[in-house]
This record gives sequence, C-alpha cells and structure tokens, in this order.
Amino acid sequence: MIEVKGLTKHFPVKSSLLEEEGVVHAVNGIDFSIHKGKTLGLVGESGSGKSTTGRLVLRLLEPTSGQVHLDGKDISTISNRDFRKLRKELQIVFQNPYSALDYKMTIEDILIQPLQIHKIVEPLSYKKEVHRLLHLVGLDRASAKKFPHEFSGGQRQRIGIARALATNPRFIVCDEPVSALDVSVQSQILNLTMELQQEFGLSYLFIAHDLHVIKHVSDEVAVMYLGKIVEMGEAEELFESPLHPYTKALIAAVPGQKEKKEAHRRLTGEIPSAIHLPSGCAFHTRCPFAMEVCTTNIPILKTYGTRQVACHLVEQESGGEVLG
Amino acid sequence: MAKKKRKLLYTILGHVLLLATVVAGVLLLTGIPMNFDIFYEKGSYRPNMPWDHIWSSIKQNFSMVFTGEIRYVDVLGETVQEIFQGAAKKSGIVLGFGMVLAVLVGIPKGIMDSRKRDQHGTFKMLQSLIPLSVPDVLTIGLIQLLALTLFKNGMTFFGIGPIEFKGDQFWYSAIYPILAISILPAAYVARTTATAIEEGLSKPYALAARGKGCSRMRIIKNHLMKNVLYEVLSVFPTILALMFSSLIIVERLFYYRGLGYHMINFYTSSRIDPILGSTAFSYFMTILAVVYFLILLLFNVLKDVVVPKVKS
Repeated sequence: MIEVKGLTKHFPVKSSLLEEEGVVHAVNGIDFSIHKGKTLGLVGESGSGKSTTGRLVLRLLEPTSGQVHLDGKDISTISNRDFRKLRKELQIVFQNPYSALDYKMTIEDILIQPLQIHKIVEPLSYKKEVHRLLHLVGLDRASAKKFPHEFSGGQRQRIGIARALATNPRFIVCDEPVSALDVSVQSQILNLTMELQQEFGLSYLFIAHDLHVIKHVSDEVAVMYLGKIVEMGEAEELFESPLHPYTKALIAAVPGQKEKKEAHRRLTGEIPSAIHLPSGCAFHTRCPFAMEVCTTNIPILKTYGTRQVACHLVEQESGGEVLG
Repeated sequence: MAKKKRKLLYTILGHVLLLATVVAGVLLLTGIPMNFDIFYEKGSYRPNMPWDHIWSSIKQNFSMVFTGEIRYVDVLGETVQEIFQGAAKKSGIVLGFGMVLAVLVGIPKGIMDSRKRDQHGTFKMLQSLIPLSVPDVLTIGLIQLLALTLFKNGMTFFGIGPIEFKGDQFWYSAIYPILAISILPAAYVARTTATAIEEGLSKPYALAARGKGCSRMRIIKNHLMKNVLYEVLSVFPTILALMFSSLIIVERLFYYRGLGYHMINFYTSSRIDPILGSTAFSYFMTILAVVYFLILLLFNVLKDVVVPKVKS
C-alpha cells in the first residue's frame, strides 16, 4: 500500500545571514513498505530521524530526494494542490496532544474542518458525524462543545485520533502518540488504535522510542540510527533475535532484560551530530564490535532470510549465507 | 473571574499612575520659562533668572492646567482651545487613517512576507528591515519628493488632483501626510504579522491542519489570525508612539496645520510671545499625553478582554 524508496531529507544549516554551514542529514535514503491493515513500527533514539520520516511520508515536509508510492502511484512529485485532495487518505496523530489541537477552537470545529475540506458528508450531517467520531474514540457527545483545555491528556489524544479518522483515511502516521501520556492512559490509547485498525483495516506507521510499545503494536519493525534503517524485520522475530549491534543494545537497555543485557553490551555515549556524520558505518563510534572496515565502508541494508540488516559484522558472520 | 477583574483593575491603575507621572513631568518641563538659560560667570554656572521665578512659573503652569485657565490663553487672536480643536481634527484624520492604512497594508504584506521567507529568507528579511532602519525623516522626505514630482507633472488619480505637495486646504491634502505617517508602522505591522505566522505555522496544530488538507491561506485564516491580531495589538503602543513622534515631522514638512505643526510653531514663530508659546505648548502636550495613555489603556484592556484565550 505505502512504499518508500530512497527517501532522503537534508536540512540546510546557516551559520550566518548569508552563508550555509552545512546540512543536517535527517533521513538518508531509506526504503520500506507497509501493507494494508499492517503496522510498521519505527524505533530509534531521539534525533534518529523517525518523526522526520513520518512527516516526509505525509509530505508535511518536502523530501530532498526519494519517492513515496501510494497504491503504486508516486505521490512525492504531484503538485501540492493535487496532493491536498489525497490527504484524506493519509493522516497523522501527533506526539503531544496538548499542542496538536488548536486551543481557540471547539472540538466540534476541529472535527468539522476536515469534513468540510474533503466534503466527507453533507453539511447538514456534520454534527451527526462529529458525534459518531467522538463515540468511536470513546468520548461523549457533550465533548463537542468544549475546548481542548477542558480535557485530560488521554482525552485530547482520543480527539487527535478522532480528527485523524474524520477523513476515513487508509494510512495513519502515529508519531509517538503515547509518549506524552501517563502510563495508565498509554495502554488505553494503544488498544484504541489497534481496535480501530481492525475495524477499518487501517495501516500504521507507528513511531516510538519505547520498545515495549513498538513490540505491542507492530507487525514489522524498522530500527533507525542517524537517518538510516539499520535493521528491519518481523516484530516478534526481531525482538527475539536481534542481529544489528544497535538493535541488541536498544533491547538490552529495556528494564528487566537481565539475560540479554549480559549477552549484548550496553550502549554508551550520545548519538553523533547529524551535520557531521561519522565516516563508514554511522554507528561505529558507539559500536562495541566495530572493525576496521566499519570506519571506512558504509554498510548496505542486506536481506538475511526475513530480516534486513545493514552491518559489516553480520555480513562477515553470515559469510554471505542466510542467517536465522 | 475575580482574579481577572483584579488584573484588569491593576492594568487600569498602572496606566493612571503612569499617566499622572508623565503629565506631571510634562508640566514641570514646559513650566520652565522659554527664555531660561544657564551661563558661566566668575568660575561657576548660574541661571539667568532667580530660582523663585522659575519655580513660580512651574507652579503657575500646574495651576493653569488644573483650573482650566490655560484653555483661554490668547495666541495670535485665537484661544489655545480653539487652535487645539481645529488642529486636533486635522491630526486625528492623519493619525486615524494612517493607522488604518498601516494595518490594511501591513497585515497582507506580512502574510506575503511569511510565504517568501520560505524561499528567499535573507532577501525577505531585508525587505522588512530596510523600512524599519531608515530614519523616518528620510522616508517622509522621500514621500514629499514624490508628491512634488507628481504635482509638477500634473498627475491626477481617480480624477483628483494634481494634489499639492504641501498645505491643508482640501480634504485630499491629507493623503500625503497619511501615506507618510503610515509607512513605518505598516513595516512594523508586516514584520510582526510575518513573525507571528511563521511561529504559528511551526505549531503542531497548524501542521495537523495541513495534514487535514487545509491550504496555507486557510490555516492562516482559521488557526493563526487570532494570534496575529493579538501580536499586532501588542505592538500598537509602539506603533502609536512612532506615529506621534512622526506627526511633528510630517505636519511640518507638508505644512499641514495639525497638532504637530502648531507645537513646532509655538516655539519657533517670532510672532508668538515666548511665555504664551510655552503655555500653549503645555496644553497641547498634556492633552496628547492623556490621549496617548487612554489609547494605550484601551489596547491593553482589549488584549485582556477580547482575546484572553490567545494570551493564556
């Protein structure tokens, strides 16, 4: 359904009024696909390019290069005017429910806006549709007349989901939808997203840095590091037997993974600057298994059975054979 | 609710106190006789008149204002009040229309500027900065030069004109002063609008609106306009101060006999007695200070009362 090919986003950075200092390599040529009714979990540290990827897919940011295909059609090159019509198919739920809703508008106005733009229902049915959407996300119809500040964080996120559902989309980018919420509310929102997926056959690009959350909701998982996917595969399998040292380190960092912590060395230091990327493998500066080749050659994402991994060590250990 | 009322009361009280201080300052300064001087004699500096004389002049200034006597002081055959009434009408037209023009031009320009900033940031920024950086006397002078050129070439607009480059005989004589006084505030409003829009567009709810399929203009109209108006209201006191200070230059250069023109005239005309000139100047300054603070108060109350949600 959604296919991403060589997606790249570089942000120019200015050092003075006229000069450009360099570029932030936010996303560096990534490929993935998401099938109908499935969820791809995108995981990585802060600054790895997860949210930028989500925004590029929805063209909330224009890519530097690369393509995004929706049902085989390249949507990254069509005009903004034409793409606006397509936006009803592709929606987003934001990380921070406090700032994602316009505080000056009532919930009814927030939900009616997409109905008006895309002419989803007749104007006479707007209110009925708003009540249906609120019911879908577990809110009562009295909520329609309230302002965002009258709701709790979890309720606001439900409203954010209702807004995304208003256009009957087929694909939703969930950009860390539970990271700003209390733990007690997180599971409610996660369950709601999964129920809605089942009911409407939605596809999700689920962005998170919490591995528990990713494991819970994803069919497939892609691990990002400094704008690149370093490992991708089926969720269950990837968490059970990670191949890339970065994936191993991320899993080892999850509390309550004693055995795995011993097996995989823990991650140290900070993610390097995306302006001056390390040579070779971007992870080599923090990798406990880094070799000479890692400092010079950029590893390519290669397929090993059902898994894709970009690592010289994995390549060497497999001896070109399929692992797993 | 009680908290809001208290806040409003504090706002009003603060402004009244400030006004009282400014009026006292104005009366103190304008009460000093115009022929007052300090000279150097026998190794020390001395005033050219006794301190008692200066002090009584200041006291008289206060007393004339508070008793209302000041209104009936005769300057060249007209009372100060009559001169003020005639001049206030003219200046009111220039200030009022100038302000409206500044907002009508500034907000759309700001919306356009915020769009351009995406593509040609530096060029765009300079467009806003240049009018703000150039001294207002130069901008006003350029407008007069343009007026002079158009008049000499007999240019007419919509059947009006040629409009004289100075004077205040006709209703359309106010056009150039209005234009001259509104340029700097318009640039200020444009810059404020552009900044508010750019800041607003980066907010998640604006991004969400784009995701819903809203066009840029729709996002600005539905989601950002209140923020823009709030920001413009916030800079209005600054704009007003700019306009008041420009008023003197504009009216003098265009020979437009409003408040600014007369205030200069009271001090510079050899036909006016210095003491009478000083008294008339006090009257004008006091009323201008009161008007300025009333407008300032109005905008601050408007911000708190009309758009409290935006502020919070």
